[in-house]
Amino acid sequence: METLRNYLETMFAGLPNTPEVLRARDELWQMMEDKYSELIAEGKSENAAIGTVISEFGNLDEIAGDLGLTRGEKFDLSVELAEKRRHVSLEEVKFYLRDKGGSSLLTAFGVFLCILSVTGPIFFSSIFDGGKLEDLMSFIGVCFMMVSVAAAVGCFIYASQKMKKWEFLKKEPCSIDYATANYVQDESVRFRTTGTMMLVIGIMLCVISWVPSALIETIFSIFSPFDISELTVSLFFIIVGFGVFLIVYSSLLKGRYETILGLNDKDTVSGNYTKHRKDGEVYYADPKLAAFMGVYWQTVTCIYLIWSFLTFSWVTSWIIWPIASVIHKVIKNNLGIRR
Amino acid sequence: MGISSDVIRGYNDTIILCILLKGPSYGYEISKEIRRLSEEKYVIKETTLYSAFTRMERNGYIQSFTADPTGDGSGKRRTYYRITPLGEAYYHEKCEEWTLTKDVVERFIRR
Repeated sequence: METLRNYLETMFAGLPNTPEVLRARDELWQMMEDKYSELIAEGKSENAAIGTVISEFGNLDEIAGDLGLTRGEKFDLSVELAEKRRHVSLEEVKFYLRDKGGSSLLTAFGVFLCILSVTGPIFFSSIFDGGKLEDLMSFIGVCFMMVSVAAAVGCFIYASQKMKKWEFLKKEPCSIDYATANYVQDESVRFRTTGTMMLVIGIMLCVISWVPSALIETIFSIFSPFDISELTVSLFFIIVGFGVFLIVYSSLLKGRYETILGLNDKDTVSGNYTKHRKDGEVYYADPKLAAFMGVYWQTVTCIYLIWSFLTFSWVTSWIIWPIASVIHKVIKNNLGIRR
Repeated sequence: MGISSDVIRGYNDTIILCILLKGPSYGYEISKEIRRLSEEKYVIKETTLYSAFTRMERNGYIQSFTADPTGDGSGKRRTYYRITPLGEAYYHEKCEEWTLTKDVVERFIRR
Protein backbone atom coordinates (compact mmCIF):
# COMPACT_ATOMS: atom_id res chain seq x y z
CA MET A 1 0.00 0.00 0.00
CA GLU A 2 2.86 2.35 0.84
CA THR A 3 4.29 1.73 -2.65
CA LEU A 4 1.04 2.88 -4.23
CA ARG A 5 0.86 5.96 -2.07
CA ASN A 6 4.44 6.85 -3.03
CA TYR A 7 3.59 6.31 -6.70
CA LEU A 8 0.64 8.69 -6.49
CA GLU A 9 2.44 11.28 -4.36
CA THR A 10 5.46 11.30 -6.66
CA MET A 11 3.20 12.04 -9.60
CA PHE A 12 1.52 14.89 -7.78
CA ALA A 13 4.65 16.20 -6.07
CA GLY A 14 5.35 19.07 -8.45
CA LEU A 15 1.79 20.22 -8.98
CA PRO A 16 0.61 23.49 -7.47
CA ASN A 17 -1.05 23.36 -4.10
CA THR A 18 -4.63 24.15 -5.09
CA PRO A 19 -7.89 22.70 -3.73
CA GLU A 20 -8.62 21.11 -7.14
CA VAL A 21 -5.28 19.29 -7.20
CA LEU A 22 -5.60 18.09 -3.60
CA ARG A 23 -9.13 16.90 -4.18
CA ALA A 24 -8.08 14.98 -7.28
CA ARG A 25 -5.23 13.37 -5.39
CA ASP A 26 -7.46 12.35 -2.49
CA GLU A 27 -10.16 10.95 -4.71
CA LEU A 28 -7.77 9.03 -6.95
CA TRP A 29 -6.24 7.65 -3.78
CA GLN A 30 -9.66 6.47 -2.57
CA MET A 31 -10.13 4.55 -5.79
CA MET A 32 -6.66 3.06 -5.77
CA GLU A 33 -6.97 2.04 -2.13
CA ASP A 34 -10.38 0.43 -2.71
CA LYS A 35 -9.13 -1.47 -5.72
CA TYR A 36 -6.00 -2.61 -3.95
CA SER A 37 -7.90 -3.82 -0.87
CA GLU A 38 -10.29 -5.79 -3.02
CA LEU A 39 -7.52 -7.40 -5.05
CA ILE A 40 -5.78 -8.43 -1.84
CA ALA A 41 -9.06 -9.77 -0.48
CA GLU A 42 -9.43 -11.81 -3.68
CA GLY A 43 -6.16 -13.50 -2.79
CA LYS A 44 -3.79 -11.66 -5.16
CA SER A 45 -0.23 -11.17 -4.01
CA GLU A 46 0.82 -7.71 -2.93
CA ASN A 47 3.02 -7.21 -5.99
CA ALA A 48 0.34 -8.39 -8.40
CA ALA A 49 -2.20 -6.08 -6.79
CA ILE A 50 0.16 -3.09 -7.00
CA GLY A 51 0.89 -3.92 -10.64
CA THR A 52 -2.79 -4.08 -11.54
CA VAL A 53 -3.66 -0.86 -9.77
CA ILE A 54 -0.80 1.04 -11.40
CA SER A 55 -1.49 -0.34 -14.88
CA GLU A 56 -5.16 0.62 -14.63
CA PHE A 57 -4.50 4.02 -13.14
CA GLY A 58 -4.36 5.91 -16.41
CA ASN A 59 -2.57 9.13 -17.20
CA LEU A 60 -2.47 12.33 -15.19
CA ASP A 61 -2.52 14.37 -18.40
CA GLU A 62 -6.10 13.32 -18.78
CA ILE A 63 -7.17 15.31 -15.74
CA ALA A 64 -4.79 18.25 -16.23
CA GLY A 65 -7.70 20.34 -17.50
CA ASP A 66 -9.82 19.50 -14.45
CA LEU A 67 -6.98 20.57 -12.21
CA GLY A 68 -6.93 24.00 -13.79
CA LEU A 69 -3.56 23.32 -15.44
CA THR A 70 -2.60 23.49 -19.04
CA ARG A 71 -0.43 20.69 -20.36
CA GLY A 72 2.53 23.02 -20.72
CA GLU A 73 2.33 24.26 -17.18
CA LYS A 74 2.19 20.78 -15.78
CA PHE A 75 5.21 19.61 -17.70
CA ASP A 76 7.17 22.71 -16.79
CA LEU A 77 6.47 22.11 -13.13
CA SER A 78 7.68 18.55 -13.15
CA VAL A 79 10.83 19.53 -15.02
CA GLU A 80 11.44 22.27 -12.51
CA LEU A 81 10.99 19.91 -9.64
CA ALA A 82 13.37 17.39 -11.14
CA GLU A 83 16.08 19.79 -12.17
CA LYS A 84 16.11 22.72 -9.82
CA ARG A 85 15.55 21.07 -6.48
CA ARG A 86 18.12 18.72 -5.06
CA HIS A 87 16.50 15.49 -4.02
CA VAL A 88 17.41 14.36 -0.52
CA SER A 89 17.06 10.61 -0.10
CA LEU A 90 15.79 8.77 2.95
CA GLU A 91 19.31 7.49 3.64
CA GLU A 92 20.69 11.03 3.61
CA VAL A 93 17.91 12.20 5.89
CA LYS A 94 18.71 9.44 8.37
CA PHE A 95 22.37 10.48 8.36
CA TYR A 96 21.38 14.12 8.78
CA LEU A 97 19.17 13.35 11.77
CA ARG A 98 21.98 11.36 13.36
CA ASP A 99 24.61 14.05 12.74
CA LYS A 100 22.30 16.79 13.93
CA GLY A 101 21.51 14.75 17.04
CA GLY A 102 25.23 14.54 17.87
CA SER A 103 25.91 18.19 17.20
CA SER A 104 22.86 19.21 19.25
CA LEU A 105 24.19 17.29 22.23
CA LEU A 106 27.58 18.98 21.85
CA THR A 107 26.05 22.44 21.53
CA ALA A 108 23.82 21.95 24.54
CA PHE A 109 26.72 20.57 26.54
CA GLY A 110 28.78 23.62 25.52
CA VAL A 111 26.09 25.90 26.89
CA PHE A 112 26.09 23.88 30.11
CA LEU A 113 29.88 24.29 30.41
CA CYS A 114 29.59 28.05 29.92
CA ILE A 115 27.16 28.30 32.81
CA LEU A 116 29.19 25.86 34.89
CA SER A 117 32.38 27.90 34.34
CA VAL A 118 31.24 30.74 36.59
CA THR A 119 31.07 28.36 39.54
CA GLY A 120 34.87 27.88 39.37
CA PRO A 121 35.98 31.16 40.99
CA ILE A 122 33.01 31.15 43.37
CA PHE A 123 33.45 27.59 44.56
CA PHE A 124 37.24 27.39 44.84
CA SER A 125 37.67 30.76 46.51
CA SER A 126 35.27 29.66 49.21
CA ILE A 127 37.54 26.77 50.21
CA PHE A 128 40.27 27.81 52.67
CA ASP A 129 38.67 31.20 52.91
CA GLY A 130 41.20 33.57 54.42
CA GLY A 131 43.84 30.83 54.72
CA LYS A 132 47.29 30.67 53.13
CA LEU A 133 46.01 28.70 50.20
CA GLU A 134 43.37 31.26 49.25
CA ASP A 135 45.38 32.74 46.37
CA LEU A 136 46.16 29.32 45.00
CA MET A 137 42.52 28.36 45.24
CA SER A 138 41.36 31.50 43.43
CA PHE A 139 43.90 30.70 40.76
CA ILE A 140 42.55 27.16 40.41
CA GLY A 141 39.05 28.61 40.29
CA VAL A 142 39.95 30.92 37.41
CA CYS A 143 41.73 28.04 35.65
CA PHE A 144 38.60 25.93 36.01
CA MET A 145 36.58 28.71 34.44
CA MET A 146 39.00 29.12 31.55
CA VAL A 147 39.16 25.40 30.88
CA SER A 148 35.36 25.15 30.94
CA VAL A 149 34.96 28.02 28.53
CA ALA A 150 37.66 26.61 26.26
CA ALA A 151 35.96 23.21 26.30
CA ALA A 152 32.63 24.89 25.54
CA VAL A 153 34.10 26.73 22.56
CA GLY A 154 35.61 23.43 21.43
CA CYS A 155 32.16 21.85 21.60
CA PHE A 156 30.62 24.66 19.55
CA ILE A 157 33.29 24.51 16.87
CA TYR A 158 33.21 20.74 16.61
CA ALA A 159 29.40 20.78 16.47
CA SER A 160 29.32 23.29 13.63
CA GLN A 161 32.12 21.47 11.81
CA LYS A 162 30.09 18.29 12.01
CA MET A 163 27.16 20.03 10.35
CA LYS A 164 29.18 21.69 7.62
CA LYS A 165 28.38 19.05 5.01
CA TRP A 166 24.64 19.64 5.57
CA GLU A 167 24.75 23.35 4.89
CA PHE A 168 23.28 22.77 1.45
CA LEU A 169 19.94 21.99 3.09
CA LYS A 170 19.65 25.66 3.99
CA LYS A 171 21.32 27.14 0.93
CA GLU A 172 19.91 25.14 -1.95
CA PRO A 173 16.29 24.39 -2.71
CA CYS A 174 15.83 20.73 -1.83
CA SER A 175 13.03 18.23 -1.91
CA ILE A 176 12.09 15.01 -0.15
CA ASP A 177 9.69 12.36 -1.33
CA TYR A 178 6.54 11.21 0.37
CA ALA A 179 8.07 8.16 2.06
CA THR A 180 10.85 10.27 3.58
CA ALA A 181 8.39 12.89 4.78
CA ASN A 182 6.37 10.14 6.43
CA TYR A 183 9.44 8.65 8.11
CA VAL A 184 10.51 12.02 9.51
CA GLN A 185 6.98 12.80 10.63
CA ASP A 186 6.78 9.48 12.50
CA GLU A 187 10.15 10.10 14.12
CA SER A 188 9.10 13.57 15.17
CA VAL A 189 5.86 12.26 16.66
CA ARG A 190 7.83 9.61 18.53
CA PHE A 191 10.14 12.30 19.87
CA ARG A 192 7.33 14.63 20.92
CA THR A 193 6.77 13.12 24.39
CA THR A 194 10.47 12.91 25.23
CA GLY A 195 11.07 16.38 23.85
CA THR A 196 8.23 17.94 25.82
CA MET A 197 9.38 16.18 29.00
CA MET A 198 12.91 17.52 28.52
CA LEU A 199 11.60 21.02 27.92
CA VAL A 200 9.27 20.95 30.91
CA ILE A 201 11.93 19.55 33.25
CA GLY A 202 14.42 22.10 31.90
CA ILE A 203 12.09 25.03 32.53
CA MET A 204 11.15 23.66 35.95
CA LEU A 205 14.79 23.31 36.95
CA CYS A 206 15.38 26.95 35.97
CA VAL A 207 12.35 28.12 37.87
CA ILE A 208 13.07 26.23 41.08
CA SER A 209 16.86 26.45 40.75
CA TRP A 210 17.19 28.70 43.79
CA VAL A 211 15.07 26.48 46.05
CA PRO A 212 17.65 23.78 47.00
CA SER A 213 20.35 26.41 47.61
CA ALA A 214 18.11 28.54 49.77
CA LEU A 215 16.89 25.49 51.67
CA ILE A 216 20.36 24.12 52.35
CA GLU A 217 21.64 27.52 53.38
CA THR A 218 18.76 28.13 55.78
CA ILE A 219 19.03 24.71 57.39
CA PHE A 220 22.82 24.92 57.59
CA SER A 221 22.76 28.34 59.22
CA ILE A 222 20.79 26.88 62.12
CA PHE A 223 23.56 24.46 63.06
CA SER A 224 26.74 26.17 61.96
CA PRO A 225 28.24 29.63 62.09
CA PHE A 226 30.03 29.11 58.75
CA ASP A 227 28.82 30.90 55.68
CA ILE A 228 28.31 28.46 52.84
CA SER A 229 26.62 30.84 50.41
CA GLU A 230 29.41 30.31 47.81
CA LEU A 231 28.76 26.59 47.80
CA THR A 232 25.01 27.00 47.44
CA VAL A 233 25.43 29.60 44.72
CA SER A 234 27.52 27.03 42.84
CA LEU A 235 24.74 24.48 43.27
CA PHE A 236 22.29 27.07 41.95
CA PHE A 237 24.36 27.55 38.78
CA ILE A 238 24.74 23.82 38.24
CA ILE A 239 20.97 23.35 38.43
CA VAL A 240 20.35 26.29 36.10
CA GLY A 241 23.01 24.93 33.77
CA PHE A 242 21.36 21.54 33.63
CA GLY A 243 17.95 23.12 33.07
CA VAL A 244 19.25 25.24 30.20
CA PHE A 245 21.03 22.18 28.78
CA LEU A 246 17.70 20.33 28.61
CA ILE A 247 15.89 23.29 27.03
CA VAL A 248 18.57 23.83 24.38
CA TYR A 249 18.99 20.11 23.63
CA SER A 250 15.27 19.45 23.24
CA SER A 251 14.66 22.46 20.99
CA LEU A 252 17.62 21.60 18.77
CA LEU A 253 16.43 18.00 18.47
CA LYS A 254 12.94 19.16 17.60
CA GLY A 255 14.31 21.66 15.10
CA ARG A 256 16.02 18.98 13.02
CA TYR A 257 12.67 17.40 12.08
CA GLU A 258 11.29 20.79 11.15
CA THR A 259 14.28 21.50 8.94
CA ILE A 260 13.63 18.35 6.91
CA LEU A 261 9.85 18.70 6.78
CA GLY A 262 10.21 22.29 5.63
CA LEU A 263 12.37 21.43 2.61
CA ASN A 264 9.67 21.01 0.00
CA ASP A 265 8.27 23.91 -1.95
CA LYS A 266 5.21 25.18 -0.06
CA ASP A 267 3.44 26.02 -3.32
CA THR A 268 3.39 22.43 -4.55
CA VAL A 269 1.57 19.37 -3.33
CA SER A 270 4.83 18.01 -1.93
CA GLY A 271 4.85 21.02 0.42
CA ASN A 272 2.01 19.61 2.45
CA TYR A 273 2.87 15.95 2.74
CA THR A 274 2.43 16.13 6.45
CA LYS A 275 -0.40 18.61 6.64
CA HIS A 276 -3.18 16.04 6.54
CA ARG A 277 -2.10 14.89 9.97
CA LYS A 278 -2.29 18.37 11.39
CA ASP A 279 -5.84 19.31 10.51
CA GLY A 280 -7.21 22.09 12.64
CA GLU A 281 -3.77 23.48 13.36
CA VAL A 282 -3.48 27.22 12.98
CA TYR A 283 -1.08 28.95 10.65
CA TYR A 284 -0.34 32.56 9.83
CA ALA A 285 -0.43 34.16 6.40
CA ASP A 286 2.04 36.93 7.25
CA PRO A 287 5.54 35.37 7.21
CA LYS A 288 6.84 37.82 9.83
CA LEU A 289 4.02 36.99 12.20
CA ALA A 290 4.51 33.28 11.49
CA ALA A 291 8.18 33.58 12.41
CA PHE A 292 7.29 35.43 15.59
CA MET A 293 4.65 32.90 16.60
CA GLY A 294 7.12 30.12 15.96
CA VAL A 295 9.35 31.36 18.77
CA TYR A 296 6.56 32.82 20.91
CA TRP A 297 6.82 30.54 23.94
CA GLN A 298 10.61 30.45 23.84
CA THR A 299 10.62 34.26 23.89
CA VAL A 300 8.20 34.33 26.81
CA THR A 301 10.39 31.83 28.69
CA CYS A 302 13.45 33.98 28.03
CA ILE A 303 11.75 37.15 29.23
CA TYR A 304 10.50 35.30 32.30
CA LEU A 305 13.93 33.94 33.20
CA ILE A 306 15.81 37.19 32.50
CA TRP A 307 13.30 39.27 34.42
CA SER A 308 13.24 36.85 37.33
CA PHE A 309 17.00 36.48 37.59
CA LEU A 310 17.71 40.19 37.27
CA THR A 311 15.19 41.29 39.86
CA PHE A 312 14.72 38.06 41.83
CA SER A 313 11.04 38.90 41.99
CA TRP A 314 9.81 35.34 41.50
CA VAL A 315 6.78 36.20 43.55
CA THR A 316 5.44 38.52 40.85
CA SER A 317 7.15 37.37 37.67
CA TRP A 318 4.89 34.31 37.20
CA ILE A 319 2.19 36.74 36.10
CA ILE A 320 3.88 36.72 32.67
CA TRP A 321 2.45 33.22 31.99
CA PRO A 322 -1.28 33.99 32.23
CA ILE A 323 -0.73 37.29 30.35
CA ALA A 324 1.30 35.55 27.62
CA SER A 325 -1.34 32.87 27.33
CA VAL A 326 -4.12 35.43 26.84
CA ILE A 327 -2.09 37.32 24.21
CA HIS A 328 -1.34 34.03 22.42
CA LYS A 329 -5.04 33.15 22.31
CA VAL A 330 -5.99 36.62 21.01
CA ILE A 331 -3.40 36.50 18.21
CA LYS A 332 -4.34 32.93 17.32
CA ASN A 333 -8.06 33.64 17.10
CA ASN A 334 -7.82 36.93 15.26
CA LEU A 335 -4.89 36.51 12.88
CA GLY A 336 -4.53 32.74 12.61
CA ILE A 337 -6.02 30.73 9.77
CA ARG A 338 -7.33 27.29 10.56
CA ARG A 339 -6.44 24.57 8.08
CA MET B 1 -9.27 -7.32 -29.56
CA GLY B 2 -9.58 -4.61 -26.92
CA ILE B 3 -11.94 -1.73 -26.95
CA SER B 4 -10.76 1.55 -28.49
CA SER B 5 -10.64 4.23 -25.84
CA ASP B 6 -11.04 6.90 -28.52
CA VAL B 7 -14.38 5.51 -29.58
CA ILE B 8 -15.77 4.91 -26.13
CA ARG B 9 -14.63 8.27 -24.74
CA GLY B 10 -17.78 10.03 -25.90
CA TYR B 11 -19.88 7.54 -23.94
CA ASN B 12 -18.06 7.39 -20.62
CA ASP B 13 -20.51 9.93 -19.22
CA THR B 14 -23.46 7.86 -20.41
CA ILE B 15 -22.04 4.71 -18.85
CA ILE B 16 -21.42 6.40 -15.49
CA LEU B 17 -24.84 8.10 -15.46
CA CYS B 18 -26.49 4.76 -16.21
CA ILE B 19 -24.90 3.26 -13.10
CA LEU B 20 -25.83 6.27 -10.99
CA LEU B 21 -29.47 5.89 -12.08
CA LYS B 22 -29.60 2.88 -9.77
CA GLY B 23 -28.53 5.01 -6.80
CA PRO B 24 -25.60 7.00 -5.44
CA SER B 25 -22.22 5.35 -5.69
CA TYR B 26 -18.48 6.05 -5.32
CA GLY B 27 -15.42 5.79 -7.54
CA TYR B 28 -14.30 2.22 -7.14
CA GLU B 29 -17.82 0.80 -6.96
CA ILE B 30 -18.68 2.49 -10.26
CA SER B 31 -15.54 1.20 -11.98
CA LYS B 32 -16.24 -2.30 -10.66
CA GLU B 33 -19.79 -2.11 -11.95
CA ILE B 34 -18.59 -1.00 -15.40
CA ARG B 35 -16.22 -3.95 -15.51
CA ARG B 36 -18.94 -6.37 -14.42
CA LEU B 37 -21.63 -5.10 -16.80
CA SER B 38 -19.21 -5.03 -19.73
CA GLU B 39 -18.12 -8.58 -18.83
CA GLU B 40 -14.52 -7.43 -18.31
CA LYS B 41 -14.41 -5.98 -21.81
CA TYR B 42 -14.09 -2.43 -20.60
CA VAL B 43 -11.87 -1.46 -17.67
CA ILE B 44 -12.12 2.26 -17.05
CA LYS B 45 -8.95 4.02 -15.88
CA GLU B 46 -9.03 5.90 -12.57
CA THR B 47 -7.98 9.16 -14.21
CA THR B 48 -10.68 8.80 -16.89
CA LEU B 49 -13.27 8.24 -14.21
CA TYR B 50 -12.15 11.20 -12.15
CA SER B 51 -12.04 13.42 -15.20
CA ALA B 52 -15.62 12.44 -16.02
CA PHE B 53 -16.75 13.12 -12.44
CA THR B 54 -15.35 16.65 -12.35
CA ARG B 55 -16.67 17.48 -15.82
CA MET B 56 -20.16 16.21 -15.09
CA GLU B 57 -20.27 17.88 -11.71
CA ARG B 58 -19.33 21.18 -13.35
CA ASN B 59 -22.14 20.71 -15.85
CA GLY B 60 -24.62 19.94 -13.10
CA TYR B 61 -25.28 16.33 -14.16
CA ILE B 62 -24.10 14.85 -10.88
CA GLN B 63 -23.58 16.00 -7.31
CA SER B 64 -20.91 14.82 -4.92
CA PHE B 65 -21.24 14.29 -1.19
CA THR B 66 -19.17 12.61 1.47
CA ALA B 67 -20.57 9.64 3.28
CA ASP B 68 -19.61 6.65 5.30
CA PRO B 69 -20.75 3.38 3.69
CA THR B 70 -21.41 1.60 6.96
CA GLY B 71 -23.37 4.54 8.32
CA ASP B 72 -22.06 4.15 11.86
CA GLY B 73 -18.82 6.04 11.49
CA SER B 74 -16.63 2.94 11.56
CA GLY B 75 -16.01 2.71 7.82
CA LYS B 76 -13.90 4.79 5.48
CA ARG B 77 -15.41 8.08 4.37
CA ARG B 78 -15.77 8.30 0.62
CA THR B 79 -16.94 10.79 -1.96
CA TYR B 80 -20.25 9.61 -3.36
CA TYR B 81 -21.97 10.84 -6.50
CA ARG B 82 -25.66 11.10 -7.19
CA ILE B 83 -27.39 11.92 -10.45
CA THR B 84 -29.37 15.15 -10.80
CA PRO B 85 -32.58 15.65 -12.85
CA LEU B 86 -30.43 17.53 -15.35
CA GLY B 87 -28.15 14.49 -15.51
CA GLU B 88 -31.10 12.18 -16.14
CA ALA B 89 -32.27 14.40 -18.99
CA TYR B 90 -28.77 14.41 -20.42
CA TYR B 91 -28.59 10.62 -20.11
CA HIS B 92 -31.78 10.12 -22.10
CA GLU B 93 -30.54 12.58 -24.70
CA LYS B 94 -27.31 10.62 -25.03
CA CYS B 95 -29.24 7.35 -25.31
CA GLU B 96 -31.19 8.71 -28.22
CA GLU B 97 -28.02 10.07 -29.77
CA TRP B 98 -26.45 6.63 -29.51
CA THR B 99 -29.45 4.89 -31.07
CA LEU B 100 -29.12 7.23 -33.99
CA THR B 101 -25.33 6.90 -34.21
CA LYS B 102 -25.51 3.13 -34.00
CA ASP B 103 -28.16 3.06 -36.69
CA VAL B 104 -26.01 5.18 -39.00
CA VAL B 105 -22.74 3.34 -38.38
CA GLU B 106 -24.43 -0.06 -38.67
CA ARG B 107 -25.36 0.74 -42.25
CA PHE B 108 -21.70 0.84 -43.17
CA ILE B 109 -20.55 -2.26 -41.37
CA ARG B 110 -19.97 -5.24 -43.68
CA ARG B 111 -19.64 -8.52 -41.89
